[in-house]
Amino acid sequence: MGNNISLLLVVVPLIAAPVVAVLPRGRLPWAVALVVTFLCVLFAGMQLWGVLNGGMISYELGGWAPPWGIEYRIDAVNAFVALIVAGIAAVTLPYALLSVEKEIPEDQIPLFYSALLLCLTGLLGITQTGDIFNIFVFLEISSLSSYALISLGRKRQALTSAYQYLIMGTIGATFFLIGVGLIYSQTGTLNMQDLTIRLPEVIHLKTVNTGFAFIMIGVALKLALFPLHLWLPNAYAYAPSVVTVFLAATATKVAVYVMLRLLFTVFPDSFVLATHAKDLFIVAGIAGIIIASIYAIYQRSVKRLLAYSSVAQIGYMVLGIGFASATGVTAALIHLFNHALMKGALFMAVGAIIYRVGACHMKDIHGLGREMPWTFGAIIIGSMSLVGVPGTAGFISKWYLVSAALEQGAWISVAVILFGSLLAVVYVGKVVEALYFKPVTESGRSATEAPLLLLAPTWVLVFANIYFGLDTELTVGVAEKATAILGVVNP
Amino acid sequence: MKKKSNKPKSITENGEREAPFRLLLAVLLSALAAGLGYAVLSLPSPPPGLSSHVAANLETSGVSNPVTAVLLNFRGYDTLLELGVLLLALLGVWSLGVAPEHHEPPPGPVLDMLTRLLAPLLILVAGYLLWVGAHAPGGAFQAGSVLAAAGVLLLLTGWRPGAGFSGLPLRITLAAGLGVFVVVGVVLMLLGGRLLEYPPSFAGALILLIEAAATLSIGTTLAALFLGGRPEAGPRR
Repeated sequence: MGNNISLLLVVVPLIAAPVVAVLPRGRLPWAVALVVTFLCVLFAGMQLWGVLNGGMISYELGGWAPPWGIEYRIDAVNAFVALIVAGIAAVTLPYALLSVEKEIPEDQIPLFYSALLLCLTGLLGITQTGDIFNIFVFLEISSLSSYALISLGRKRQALTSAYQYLIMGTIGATFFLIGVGLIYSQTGTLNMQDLTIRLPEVIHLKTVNTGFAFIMIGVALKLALFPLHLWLPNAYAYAPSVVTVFLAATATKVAVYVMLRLLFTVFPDSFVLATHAKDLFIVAGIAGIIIASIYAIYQRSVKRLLAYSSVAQIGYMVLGIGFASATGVTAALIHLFNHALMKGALFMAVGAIIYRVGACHMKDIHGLGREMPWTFGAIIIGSMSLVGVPGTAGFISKWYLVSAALEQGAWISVAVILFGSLLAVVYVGKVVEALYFKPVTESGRSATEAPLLLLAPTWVLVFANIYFGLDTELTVGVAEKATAILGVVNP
Repeated sequence: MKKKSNKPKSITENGEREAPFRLLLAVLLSALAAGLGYAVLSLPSPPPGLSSHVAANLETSGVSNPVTAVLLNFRGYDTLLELGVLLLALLGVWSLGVAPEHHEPPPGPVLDMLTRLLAPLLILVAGYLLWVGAHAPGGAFQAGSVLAAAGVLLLLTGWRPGAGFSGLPLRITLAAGLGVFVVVGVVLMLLGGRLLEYPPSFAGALILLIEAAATLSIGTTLAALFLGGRPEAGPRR
């Protein structure tokens, strides 16, 4: 039974998606999607519990043993990421009802929830599977549904940004597939466990090195690693609010997971430490933190500002990976979790503003903080977490990152992390200034506090930001366990 | 040498300002292609694949064509998901809007006659490809594409699905491939196996059932993609 839960986690949303697509208009599609996401978070919770107490779970699909059959292989790492994805989905769905009714044409709503469930299926599938080709297939499912979801945004720019993402995402997926093909040609296996065993024998071959490079670039495009992030700001800015919340909190996180898994489990440690990949990650991470944060300061739309901030936050995670040490990877995993919480809360609060005034341009939100105090409060606490104020989840991330940098005497990285936080103060400061210290505009005067159905999920994430800033047992404990499983050793 | 210097000039004709950028891009892409080509050329032969595993288990797979055995049995889960991808592609197109109005002139006598001849033939070929897939090259994806070709041909002559079909019946036809696949998988699971674990004695029949539904869905999906949007919102209740 324990193993079936891991399967159901993916299959239930997969079955529900076509069913939702043929449901009549109204609130029924939403209700079904809600029940499915609640089931998923239940399954994901049980799975993590099972893994932490009973060890690795393996499920052979079709009853064929790996390496030629497909296997689900779940340890603390996947179970942790799967719980983040399912958890965010379960918080997003209650929020979705009103926001989607306002932003999506009525006859598209069943299709919208269908695509959202398929996106969830894809993201969960990537975390569950132990087969590298199966990762590609799930990557396609999650990406295609993201393109469809983004294109449903209200402004016409949503179409061009979805198209831009489609082109870049497809290039990323193709690179990944070419890499997988090259590696298969030398190892004759697609199962990641099997690859771990077979790769050391062939790791010196040019083909395998080329495959490694292709896979890394493909994944880097998917996780919007600077300077391959160009699709992200527009995609997040013009997507419907719910889609931005969901994708910002999950999609890039899953790509980071794939990168961690490949770097530290699949490819031999000695190879990864010998290549320049980790140096490149550190450089890209540092550049991302500084340049994307500066871009964020100059944005006039709050959603775009937060989107650039996301690119910078991914920089922190990649920096942690680049250290290639246990503390660094632990920091990356902790930040993966905490960033989902802070960006989820912030994008939800911005979505609530859009729900009330229909826009999130700086000039449209003047003074709204006084009209919508609860939404404003959520933005304040979310921003504090983003900056890394003690007492919030963001502080824990920064703490571990700085420790990892100090461990290696990487003073430049320490300075960059602190400078990045200062830049974050500047850009969130701009939002707070507009919301609170500017006089209310004519149209903003009639705005009232957002409905409870939008506020409650937002505040669930806000409280999570505070809770995980004070009680780090779950995040740090699981992240350290996951790091041990990934097989990272302090050099 | 001379050829190389000619190349950028032809590019400059299109956009003067972007020429250096395009040239750089061309050089980088050629380097990438050359590197990839080198990596592929240095591949071992024969490659250390899984074909021996497949050959050893072909008997219990229910079919004698190794490609079909891998697609529908050993890695059936991937194929199931690929059907999901196909459905998703259509979902994406449909979420963009209603299919554009049909404005083309009625087909000439040649197209009309050709379609009358070819459409039934294509459907027959699709059926054959589906059946033959069990022991020779063929199968659901090939059959589905032929079926889609018949559909596209019909659409080109100005034929449109009637209002009775473009609602729920169309949606059910589109989802049938994924639906039957998942239902078979889950039923087998409820009977005590794992997802998609076919009992060897029924494997052949189950694969044919799945492939038949998949053929229908693949053909309809590809033809529906050709319409370029949702069919008229019509009487959907």
